Amino acid sequence: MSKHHLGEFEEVVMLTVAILYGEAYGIAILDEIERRLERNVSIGALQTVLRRLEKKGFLISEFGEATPERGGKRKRYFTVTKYGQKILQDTKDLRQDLWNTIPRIAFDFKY
Amino acid sequence: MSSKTRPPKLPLHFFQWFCRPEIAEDIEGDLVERFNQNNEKFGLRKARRIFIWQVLLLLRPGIIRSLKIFDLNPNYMIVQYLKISWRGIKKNTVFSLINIGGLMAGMTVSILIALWVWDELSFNKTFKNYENIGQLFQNRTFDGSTGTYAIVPQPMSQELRENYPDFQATCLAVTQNQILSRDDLAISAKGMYVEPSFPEMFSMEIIKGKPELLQGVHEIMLSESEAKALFGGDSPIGKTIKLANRSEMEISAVYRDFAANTTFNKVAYLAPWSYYRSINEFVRNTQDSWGSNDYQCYVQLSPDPDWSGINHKVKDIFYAKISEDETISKPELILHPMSKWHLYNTFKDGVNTGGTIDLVWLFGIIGVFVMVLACINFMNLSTVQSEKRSKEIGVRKAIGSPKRQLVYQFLCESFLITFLAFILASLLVTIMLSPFNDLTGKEITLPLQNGLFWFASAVFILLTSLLAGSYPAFYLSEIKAINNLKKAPKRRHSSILPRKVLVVLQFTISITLIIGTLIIYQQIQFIKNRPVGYDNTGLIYLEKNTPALQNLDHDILRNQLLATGVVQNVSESANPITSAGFLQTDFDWEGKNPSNIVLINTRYVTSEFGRTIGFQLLSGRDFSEEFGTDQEAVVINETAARLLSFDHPVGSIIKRSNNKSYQIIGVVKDVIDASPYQTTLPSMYFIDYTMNRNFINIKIKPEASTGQSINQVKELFSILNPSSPFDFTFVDEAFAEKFADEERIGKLSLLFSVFAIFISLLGLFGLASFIAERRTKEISVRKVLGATVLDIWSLLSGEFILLVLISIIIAFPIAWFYMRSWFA
Repeated sequence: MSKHHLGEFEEVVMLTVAILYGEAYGIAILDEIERRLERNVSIGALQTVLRRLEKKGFLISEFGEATPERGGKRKRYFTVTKYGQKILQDTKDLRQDLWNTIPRIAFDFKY
Repeated sequence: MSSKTRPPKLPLHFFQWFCRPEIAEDIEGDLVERFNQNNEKFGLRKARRIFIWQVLLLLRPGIIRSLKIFDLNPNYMIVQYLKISWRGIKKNTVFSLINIGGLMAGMTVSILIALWVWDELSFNKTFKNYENIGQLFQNRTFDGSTGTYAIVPQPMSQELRENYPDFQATCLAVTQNQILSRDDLAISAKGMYVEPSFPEMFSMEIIKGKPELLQGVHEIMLSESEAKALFGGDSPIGKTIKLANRSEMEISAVYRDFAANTTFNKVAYLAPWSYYRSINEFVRNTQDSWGSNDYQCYVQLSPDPDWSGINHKVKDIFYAKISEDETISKPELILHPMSKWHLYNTFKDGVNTGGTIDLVWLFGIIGVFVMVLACINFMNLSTVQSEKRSKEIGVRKAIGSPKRQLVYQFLCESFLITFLAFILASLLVTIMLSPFNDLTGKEITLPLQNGLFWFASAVFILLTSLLAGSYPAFYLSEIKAINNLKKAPKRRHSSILPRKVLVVLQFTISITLIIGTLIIYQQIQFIKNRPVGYDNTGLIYLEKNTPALQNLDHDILRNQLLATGVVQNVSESANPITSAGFLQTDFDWEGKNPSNIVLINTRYVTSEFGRTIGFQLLSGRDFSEEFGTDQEAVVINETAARLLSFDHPVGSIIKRSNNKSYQIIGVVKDVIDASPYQTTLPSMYFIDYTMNRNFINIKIKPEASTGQSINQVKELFSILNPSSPFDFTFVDEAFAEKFADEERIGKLSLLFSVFAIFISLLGLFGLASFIAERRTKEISVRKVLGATVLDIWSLLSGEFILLVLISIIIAFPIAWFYMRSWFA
């Protein structure tokens, strides 16, 4: 199917970027993941993934404004590209396809 | 945001250092923002801890900058640097030549000095037992002053060898020039009589022959070169040669020549001590005498010896062996390790005070100074040129060259110039090495096979280019780009003062060197002008080194020589005219302090000695054949007369240990026979026909041509002393030889001073011509307005003259101070 396989964390990050449309910069993404998934993510882990996804062309970024609480450094906002969107869709479809093929009996079985 | 609530600095800087620059900004923003959130949530301490943790978690492959990014392709830039440096060198031909020339001169001197120092420091190091060989010296105190002598009595060797386990081997030795002859071939060569332990002690390499060495009495070992000279290609082993035209000696072995920078350089043969004893009655008679000190003795200690401890054990060895009377002179044995033989060869008042090592230091320091002079040239010319190059620097900076690259550029330039200078200097050294060897009396070669030499050269080039290039590199790259690009660059006063200081430093060093050289020359001249007390022109002496000469009756020889018509006078003496006689102590006279042992320079001569050398009588008379009693007479010198302190020395009596009394018949002016640098010893001349008179002294008539006269004398000797070379010495040459070391030092320091002043002047010339060039317009305007050439000259040179004057003022006290301690 696709040469580009999305990892679990990559998928989470891309979905979060999509959720935060227009507001998706490092700390916002972190907060969102922590809030929704209740798991701790380091800046290093997140940034590595963000850069990797950007390099693959799933995300695109641009500099935003600088605020005093950032020590005068600009934010970098990420958005999902059309290509990224397609990959997300593909991943979802693949999952759905897998779900759909599960025989009913598999989950209805009672002990 | 107050400073207290800022994220910790060190981790932040660390992050900024390792993070890829293009993603650093927003990640840093994230870090800081997160820190501030955590600060409010958990407090400062925890926030900081989390911050550090976050930074550490950022150490991931996608975040860390790649190593390549530290420098844009550095290899390529070096090519660029070199290319631009080369263009710079070609563009400013004059300055480049001055730079390269100055550095070349400096390097040549430094390399020569380094080779010399290396040679001095590696003296004797070729001996395997370098660490544990020593020589025996002894201190004796005569008339209140302690002297150190390199001689010991014969039984010393055996005593140490047998009764002191610290001594692995001992070896008596005496060095002599003798004639080696075979058929009609005769060569005079330096050799030694030694005990059998010698070859192993000095790790001699035996090329051919018996490994067990010097066992028989009539065996001799030859050096490779001597064997070749005597036998050509034939194997000499088992053949015989004649030693001193006296004994047939069987050649037992041929050894590899001793290295040039060893004590035994040019020792061409080794003969056994047993042979020396067999031919020499005096040696036989003193075989067991502890009172007669005449020979060198080398000792080998167990490996890794405790020199001072062992020395302490044997220090007072004499006291058990000699009579109480003799111990008045406080004999003290000294162990002198081989590592000190050459470099620490001076003793004063019984204590080792240095020696050649002082020269090594002196010339080493001069070498460094000369190198510094050349580097100063480079610095000055580079900074003064900076104004010319400021536009280039400005453009480079504007295009985006970081400071570091500019530093590299300048260092690269200085490296290139240093490298060129080094190549030229190496060539110059190769050319100069042979005259330099003549001057220093050494056999130095470029150690091209030695890896250390190449390593040292590389380090030398790098150090020099750093030293020469550092100041311009860091100074020039500091300049603000905007200033450089403005039309008229502002005069930078900050560079002028250091430049002046450097010029003063340069000239202070050169002038100090020159003053030092002049003082050395003056001193030598002063001592040379000291009256020698006799007339050494046309005076020759030869050693009676064959039985034919030794058995020749003096009167017959004398008459035959006089009969040639070219000889004015002939005499014999026990010692050569240009060295001291026997130093003896058995003198007594009225009014002598009995607890005081006095060393008298005792000379045994024939009655014509005084007339042959032409010493000058102050009172009384010379020896004369007309008085039959002259064998009980003595002639003393002025110093001896002062020592005796008789009111009327002539006619007074001196007693000696053989219970003989001698009457003083004359007082002569002091004759300089030993070192011209020391005060003359009290000397006495005796006629004693029982003593060996080993030297024939011949005075050529002053009106005769020396060359022809010598030929006539030579002809006579070829009849009297057949199959031996006519081996004579001019007394005036032998006397001049005494100044050889000092003149060598003088010539060397003259050479170095010339180089130093040349380099300094070269630098000054560069500076002056640059400044003149910059002021062309000013000079033209001044000329138009009526300035004379003199005005312009004083305008341009005034500053430099002032600097040189300051240097002279500084140099004089420095030179005075150092020369005073040098001569002290």
